[in-house]
Amino acid sequence: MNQHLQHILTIVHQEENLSAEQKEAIEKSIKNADKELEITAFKLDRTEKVKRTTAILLEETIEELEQKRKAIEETNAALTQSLEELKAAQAQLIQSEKMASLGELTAGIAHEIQNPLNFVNNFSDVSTELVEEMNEEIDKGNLEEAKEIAQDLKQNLEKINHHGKRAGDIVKGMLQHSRTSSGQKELTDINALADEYLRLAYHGLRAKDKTFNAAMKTDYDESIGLIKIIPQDIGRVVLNLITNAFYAVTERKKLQTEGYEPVVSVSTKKLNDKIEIHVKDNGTGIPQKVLDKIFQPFFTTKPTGQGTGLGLSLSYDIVKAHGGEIKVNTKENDGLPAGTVAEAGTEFIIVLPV
Amino acid sequence: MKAKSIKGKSTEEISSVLTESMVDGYQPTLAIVFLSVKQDWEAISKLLDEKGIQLFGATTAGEFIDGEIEGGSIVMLLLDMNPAYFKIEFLETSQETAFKDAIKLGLAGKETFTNPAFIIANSGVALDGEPFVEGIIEGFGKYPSSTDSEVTIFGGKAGDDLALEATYVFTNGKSNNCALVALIIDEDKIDVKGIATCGWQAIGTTKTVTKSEGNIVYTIDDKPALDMLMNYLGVEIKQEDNKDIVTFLSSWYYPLQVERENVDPVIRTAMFANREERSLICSGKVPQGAKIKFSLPPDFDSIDKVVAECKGIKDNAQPQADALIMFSCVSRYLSFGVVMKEELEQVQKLWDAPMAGFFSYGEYGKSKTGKYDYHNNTCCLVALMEK
Repeated sequence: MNQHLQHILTIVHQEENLSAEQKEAIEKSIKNADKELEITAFKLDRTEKVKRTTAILLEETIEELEQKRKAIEETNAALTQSLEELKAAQAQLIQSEKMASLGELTAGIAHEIQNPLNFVNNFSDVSTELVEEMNEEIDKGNLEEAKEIAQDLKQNLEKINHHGKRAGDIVKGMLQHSRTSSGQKELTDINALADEYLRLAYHGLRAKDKTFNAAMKTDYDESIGLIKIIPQDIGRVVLNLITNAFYAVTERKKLQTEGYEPVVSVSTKKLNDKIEIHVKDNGTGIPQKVLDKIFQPFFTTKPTGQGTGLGLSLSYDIVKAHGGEIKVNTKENDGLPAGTVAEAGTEFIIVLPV
Repeated sequence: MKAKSIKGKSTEEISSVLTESMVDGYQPTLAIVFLSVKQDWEAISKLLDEKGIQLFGATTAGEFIDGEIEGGSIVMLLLDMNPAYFKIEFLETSQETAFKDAIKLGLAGKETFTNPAFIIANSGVALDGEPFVEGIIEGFGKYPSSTDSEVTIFGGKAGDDLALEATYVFTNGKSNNCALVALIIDEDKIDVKGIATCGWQAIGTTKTVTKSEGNIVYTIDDKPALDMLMNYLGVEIKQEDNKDIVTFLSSWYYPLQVERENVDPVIRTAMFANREERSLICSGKVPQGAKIKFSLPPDFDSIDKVVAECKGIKDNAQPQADALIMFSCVSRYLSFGVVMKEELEQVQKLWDAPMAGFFSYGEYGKSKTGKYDYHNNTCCLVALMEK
């Protein structure tokens, strides 16, 4: 018993003025008080113990969390660096894709430049002769004749200038294609853009492979007029779809030569608040299991080295950034009865808001 | 069924109290005996043999009847249960054979009664209790006529007044410091209902057991397990000369909570520490890769929780009881101290039936939402009622 309570109890027992009942009642109260005191002391002691342990645990936990925080920070820094590297690699890949498509265009561009250059060469040859003739006439004193020749010469020079500019425009277009997009939308003649890329792609393939041939059909809706797009970007999408279309018809031609006429058609359509660019081929078609993946980055069915697998993925991103969509309808060549040449093929539709 | 709870400080005293309790013609058939290792259980066995009473017994880390906590004494719960309704099995065992031995016990139970309930106690300080539960379930489940997959298992692991040297279980004429004693009861005749409640609260961050083998934990978060415990909880180990493995009583306050899939976490106490290996020897299995948390003793109001959960059993499953048995972890006693009496009193008052129990080194039972399992730091109450 608590010594103070024990002392009180002893005094109570010695007190003669208290009755036995009173002493018993006091003793009971003292014992209860002692019990409660004991419980309180125990609780206090345990609370102290737990408090001390909790403090230690808290301190250790804070230290542990601090270490974890540092580790997370380090991981975070490493991840950020990886992300930067990934972004750089991605940018490089996009550039490679651009350069790859530029490669596909080179032969077409060369063909396109060759025409104006032929004109320039021919007209400059003719002009050289005309200058000689003019000098002869001046020597003879036939100034009127000389003036007429000078007039022809002037016309020749205008033609040289015209064709020179044409070549210049083609080069400018090529540079624009390879340059990083300015991101600025410009009023663009979508029909002219589609037509130019169709021809460039065709001539490009013809230049590489003389046996290649495909009929080209075009149907442009002239009511479209000018629409606001980023021409380099949409140009790349159109070119990519046309190149794929030519590839598909070539592949089918390899399998089925008799009675097969490869056709690639490009058409445009104006609907209420949107325009559509259709790129259609009667090639091999896309198998269903492949169809789900065609817009995934790095997915390609072309042999190694022939495709980056980024073309359709980038096209998808570009069209999406324009607020539009790319739709695809396809029918596979495999499984169709022999002779049903017109059924198979793929049609990509670029839908752009206006 | 009539029950009486008696206690004594010596064989002589208990003998006299026992004789006194039978003066009115009361003839017990079964004595559930919990006593201190200081007492002579062989003498007790002889005493009960003489009176034709079957014995289920275990040494303790403190024993109690009806809310009265004793130390160094003998307590008995006497029952006049029809001998046809129960059977006592005694099996010597080892860590290696524990599972197989428990299977034998499960089969024995099923062969004796259609619906047996197992009240078990085991000795062996460092013996893991999990294989016993798993083995009984395995043995019971494999019996061809088994219809009920959940077998009732309650019990406790014997103590030795916190010496952590040798514990004993015993029955008539048999005792061993590495054995399993089982009281198999016919549940078609006697209702056996109970609950295991804990209350220890998880604290701190989740940690991973990075190296363990059975019940030995070598590393936590790749750091020596013993150092982790000492650092985080500020506990110290007992300095004993020339001994690598030492008792680790101070950690009993702060056991590990082992998280498990789809069931409540299980508590595992580090009973011993290996100073050389810096490892912990736990009271039960701690799987490698397990997620664990440290835990703190419950608030004093957890007594109310125990009482409320027992009341739940009374209100729903067992409105009346002839007798109560309690297996309460010694760490509860260490942690609740003088307040422990309150818990015992309040639980006993719920049914107002004779109660005997002991402070154990491990408990067997089922929590409110869990399955039958081996626990630590738990209070496990069993209520018996003849149908």
